[in-house]
Amino acid sequence: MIKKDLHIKAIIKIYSCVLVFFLSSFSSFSQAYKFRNYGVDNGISQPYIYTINQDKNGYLFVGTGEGLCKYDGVRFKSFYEKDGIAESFVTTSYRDKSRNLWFGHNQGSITFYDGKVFKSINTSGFAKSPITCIIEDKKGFIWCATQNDGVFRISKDFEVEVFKIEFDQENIFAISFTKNDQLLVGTDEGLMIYDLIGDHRAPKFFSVVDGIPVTRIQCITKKNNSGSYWIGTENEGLFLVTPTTNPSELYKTDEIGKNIGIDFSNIQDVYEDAQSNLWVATFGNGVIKLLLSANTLQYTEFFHFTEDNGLGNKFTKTVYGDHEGNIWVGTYGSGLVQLIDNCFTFYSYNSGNVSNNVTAVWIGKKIKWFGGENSLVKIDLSTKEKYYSYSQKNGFVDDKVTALYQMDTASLIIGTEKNGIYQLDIHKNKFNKIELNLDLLSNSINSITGYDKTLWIATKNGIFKIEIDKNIKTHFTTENGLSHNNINQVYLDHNNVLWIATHSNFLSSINKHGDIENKKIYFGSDLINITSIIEDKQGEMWAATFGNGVFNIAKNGIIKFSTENGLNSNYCYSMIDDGSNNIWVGHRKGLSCIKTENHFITQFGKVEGITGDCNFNAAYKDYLGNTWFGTSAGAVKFDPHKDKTNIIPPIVNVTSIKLNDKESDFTTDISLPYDNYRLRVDFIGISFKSNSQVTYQYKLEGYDIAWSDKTNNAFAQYGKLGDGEYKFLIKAYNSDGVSSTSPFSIKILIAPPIWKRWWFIVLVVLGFGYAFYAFIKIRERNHRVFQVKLQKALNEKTREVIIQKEEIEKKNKDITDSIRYAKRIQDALLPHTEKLKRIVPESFIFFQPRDIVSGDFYWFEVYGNKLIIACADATGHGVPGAFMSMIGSTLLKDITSREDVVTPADALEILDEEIKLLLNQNNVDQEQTYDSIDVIICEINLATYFVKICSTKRSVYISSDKQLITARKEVSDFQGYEMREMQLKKGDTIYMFTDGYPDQFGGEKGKKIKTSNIKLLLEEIEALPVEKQSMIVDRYFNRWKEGHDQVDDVLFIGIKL
Amino acid sequence: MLNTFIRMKYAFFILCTCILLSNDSFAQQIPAQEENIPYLVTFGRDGEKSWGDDDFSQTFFFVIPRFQVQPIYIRVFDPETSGANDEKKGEYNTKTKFSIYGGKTCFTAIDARSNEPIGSYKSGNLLASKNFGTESIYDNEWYTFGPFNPSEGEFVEEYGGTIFKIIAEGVLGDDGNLYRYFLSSSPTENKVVEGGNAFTYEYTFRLTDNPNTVAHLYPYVDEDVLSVKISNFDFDNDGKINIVSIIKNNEFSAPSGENVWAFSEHKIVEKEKQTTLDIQFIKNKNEPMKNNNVTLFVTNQYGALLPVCTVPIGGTSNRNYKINFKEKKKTTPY
Repeated sequence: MIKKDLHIKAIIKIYSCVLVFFLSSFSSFSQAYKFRNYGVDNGISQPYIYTINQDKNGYLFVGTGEGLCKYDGVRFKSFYEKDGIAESFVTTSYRDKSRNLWFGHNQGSITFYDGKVFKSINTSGFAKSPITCIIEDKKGFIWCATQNDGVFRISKDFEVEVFKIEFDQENIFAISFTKNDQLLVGTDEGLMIYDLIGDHRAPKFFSVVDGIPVTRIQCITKKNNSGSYWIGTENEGLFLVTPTTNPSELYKTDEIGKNIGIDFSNIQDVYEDAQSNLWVATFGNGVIKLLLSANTLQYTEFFHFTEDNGLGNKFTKTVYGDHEGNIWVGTYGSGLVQLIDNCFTFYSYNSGNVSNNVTAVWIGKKIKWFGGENSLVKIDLSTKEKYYSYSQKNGFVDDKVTALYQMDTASLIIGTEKNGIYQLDIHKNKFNKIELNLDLLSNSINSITGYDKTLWIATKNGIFKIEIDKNIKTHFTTENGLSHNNINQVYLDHNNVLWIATHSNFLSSINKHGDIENKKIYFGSDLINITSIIEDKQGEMWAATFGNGVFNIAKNGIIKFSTENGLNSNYCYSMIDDGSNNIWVGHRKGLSCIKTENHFITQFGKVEGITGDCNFNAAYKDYLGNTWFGTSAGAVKFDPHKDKTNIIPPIVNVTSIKLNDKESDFTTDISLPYDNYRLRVDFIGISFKSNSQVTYQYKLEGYDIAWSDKTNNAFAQYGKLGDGEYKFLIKAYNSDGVSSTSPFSIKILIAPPIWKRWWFIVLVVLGFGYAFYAFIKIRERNHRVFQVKLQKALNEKTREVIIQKEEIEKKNKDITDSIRYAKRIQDALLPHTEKLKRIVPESFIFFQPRDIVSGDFYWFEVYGNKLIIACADATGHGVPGAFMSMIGSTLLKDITSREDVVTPADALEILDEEIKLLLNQNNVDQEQTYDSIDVIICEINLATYFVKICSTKRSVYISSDKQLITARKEVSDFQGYEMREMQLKKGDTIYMFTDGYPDQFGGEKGKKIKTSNIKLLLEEIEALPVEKQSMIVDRYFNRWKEGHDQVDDVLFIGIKL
Repeated sequence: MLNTFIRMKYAFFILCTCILLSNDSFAQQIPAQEENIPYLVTFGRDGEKSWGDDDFSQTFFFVIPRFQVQPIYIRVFDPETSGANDEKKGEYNTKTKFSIYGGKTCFTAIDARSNEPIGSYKSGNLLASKNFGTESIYDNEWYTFGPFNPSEGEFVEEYGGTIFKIIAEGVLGDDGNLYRYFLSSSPTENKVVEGGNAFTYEYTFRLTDNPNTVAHLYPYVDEDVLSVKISNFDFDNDGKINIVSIIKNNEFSAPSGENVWAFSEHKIVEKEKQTTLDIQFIKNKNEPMKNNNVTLFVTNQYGALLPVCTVPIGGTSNRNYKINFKEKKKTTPY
């Protein structure tokens, strides 16, 4: 029986152990770090990641067992053998000093990548096993370790030198150069040292590093800024190897992480970040981060990233830190993992017994308290995140915990939604209910705060002040001056003034004396609902509201924050000051962080891993400065010490340039023939920290005047680009607004059209010049031809003219001859002046016909002692005048010879009648002619010097006694002709002339001579001898006429008695 | 009350057993359950050949179908040499090294497909290796190698996938290490790799002590085979070796005696091509040997080794793979 009881006890013990095992297994409150996982679905060619590296353009290269993947923060592009890499299976990679990438492959080949193209290096002649490690020596040689085929090195000219026999069939998994120019070689039998001999630096075995176990060395990583090396082993953990000066112990070895359980881990890769924290990729244990203590310089703290907290796979092959400090993990079978901003840590219960809805938070130095839907959870830090849950079963109530306040190390005050407040004796795990009022609203707790032994409790029915040590309870309601009885939160500032968050446009407070003060913060017509109040480091109050954003009651006014200026939502559930000048506001599925210095607001949400809704006033700042938020999906911790501005600007790359919808090569500057181009440039700013928040500005120099506005669109389009030189500039800003100082640029040169090219312009100018020259020449030639033609025509015409002239001249000559002959006849008809001289010696006749023959004529005849002399002017001149003069002279000769003609007047009368008769001027039936003759007839008695003068229209001038007498026409009563009779004496001179003399134009002014001038002339010359007078009359006339044509026949007669 | 507890106890153990036996735990085990062979055996290099292991080395190949993208694991049961199962020769002093190879030539190298561990039989890339001595934590337990990316094996088109090689070598001592393999898709349990395949060219195994249990080996006869030569070592005349095919029965192969090889040649007729032979080790029922370890390989008319496929049992391990019929030198002592 006893034996049976023992048996039963043993079974119970076993059962208990099993129960404890099961319970403890499922009762952890695990941290979950947020990762971004990239698998085959995201474009990675295979989920087995062997190596990660970043090229000079910022792209992340991920080597898998079936392709090399390039990641730009948005998408993956895979490369295979057909794309130029040596093999699809990529085992390792290395970035050399020139930031070129080298990839090692599974069958021993190497691919070189200069950021533009892949170059495959054929190693098939000497390497068939996987490349396990690639390093670079001081001279720039690339050394490649193969698993089974030794080591080879590649010069800058891609010449390969193989060191195979030196390694005696060692399996090599890692190599590294030491400071003293030796080669550390990690084999499957431990860590070896090789000397490098001669110019070729051929490796020669030197010794074994004794402190390292005889096991497979998976990786050798240089420790930052030192001569030490991290040695990862297959199953013996991690070692630090440090060279010594002791010849008996060349290297000191320290086992790292022994106390944190990685002493037998399968270390695959080690990465040391800029803060000297170690990231260790393991096979079977995920990634372990060892934090270097600033005080002890020891790795005392660690984080374990495993399947349980989001890594996705515990088999990790490689860990890598990019240029921004992001940590990337290559898993073995689950793709690529990026550890995203680890400022946030997420906690949740991995058991279904407790809801992950965290409604209240209190973080103590030793215990974390979390209130939930129906329980209170205690996490004692000494139990390594294991939690203990309180509910009705162990003395608490099944109610929602809405507020927590730890008075001291022994006492926790718990507010519930329906059951008032409880006091937990932490040491005894015993609950005591603190009675407030019996009404339901007073037992609905919203918030608790306090100091010393004084508690302030916000309820739906006002505020309770409880002085525990004095057992005094004071109840504040609207009756005491509160704005509202539903108090959302109570908050004590540094002066222990209690601030009250409630439905009110006033910020209410209760001072030490219990006086309620109200300060209006909202001046709208509606009522705001203040959910949370805090005081920042500068002593300014902040009020978060449910629907109206956040108010900062600053010293110089009230500042409102809402969605309009960047707040995640206007509905605020909680608010906390993290002590680092950040005000954190909790919303549904997100947080807002307001920087008190510059009021810059940052939003955090799903991207950062926040998936739950923040609960009312479930926020707490712990003693380390971490900020905690209770959400519907667990607790979120923000560590402000890890929150650093990302000062690394995105690396800008152009991914595509399309010209007229056709892809263009942009690895060099683009030169294009002339056309009008549609341009589309796709680009990307690589910032893996938060690629979705990268923004861009771009500008096409030569087209745009200014930079574009910031945009999330990673492309730019231009409609029509003509010829010219363009420079496309891009700036990319990371999520913190940091961009590179010098923008990325690419030149696009569109050639000018032919007509804008210099040679064309020169040709055109020359062409124009030549054309002008040719035109001139042709014109000249045409001119010459024309001139010749003209000349020819002219000559022809001239000849014709000459002929005509000759004809005319001949005719003229004939006419002239005829006229001249007529003149001879006229001359013959006219009496000779010699005859007159013989009659009157002192006489002269100035007779100057205008043409050859004259219309003027003179006639004289002596009858007895009477001299009859006529000075006549027939109408017209030339031949007609001559005809008239012949008629006149003939008639005069005839008339004067008649006996019945006794006076000049008779002669004139008869002459008139004869002419009329002769010219039929009396016959009205015939055509009338108006030809006539003006005549002066003077009868001089040579003996008595009695003179009878009869004149038609003409005056006769007589010089007598130095006086010039004008014998004017006097009309007789019956005859109608003037006749004057005068007795002259010897020496008197009679002057007669026709109108040709006074009517002649000339002189200085081209005027007529006029009778007045003749009179003056006669007065001057009357005293002169007749010959002289004749000469002066002649000269005077011709001088006057000089330069003018003679207008009429001229006859001037002078007779000195 | 007591009965209740006893019932609960049994129920608990039955539950545990069910958990252990679930997931086809024996479906892809090497040796296969159908072979009636309890263990593979490899002695330490200081052991006596007369104990049944002719070369202290055993090579197996695993074929992973190309559609397998999830990692695979090679699990070894009882890899150490002490405690349960193993054959003790004096004090346990044996170390067995298990090495897994992949990559180019791990299978296609001629030496890799030899029955003797000479030349470049360790061809390919060493993916993992571990020495096991007398660590009790591995006694009667499974040890898992891996995970392995299926791509890390040697891709052989004719096999429709990649091939991994595991070599067990007795690097120290003289004890016999008895072990089993399992090609698994899980690191913690024996979970079949669908379409997985395992075979060897020389089989060194432990016969059961039970005289009523017949061990079966199933070499595959392809269409080019005209005759097979069955070579066995150190059967200790523990019975007879019967060859069964679709037309053969009671055609016996010569059994070997202590520390010697025996061989016999058998004609293959047309009907037997592309089928498996069933080589049966039938122990003497009167005086059965205990702890009898035997080595066996099969060659064709050119002396080329035929694969003995254990997973799937008697399967077409070579699929379309053509054996290089080049005459090879015999490395056996006859």
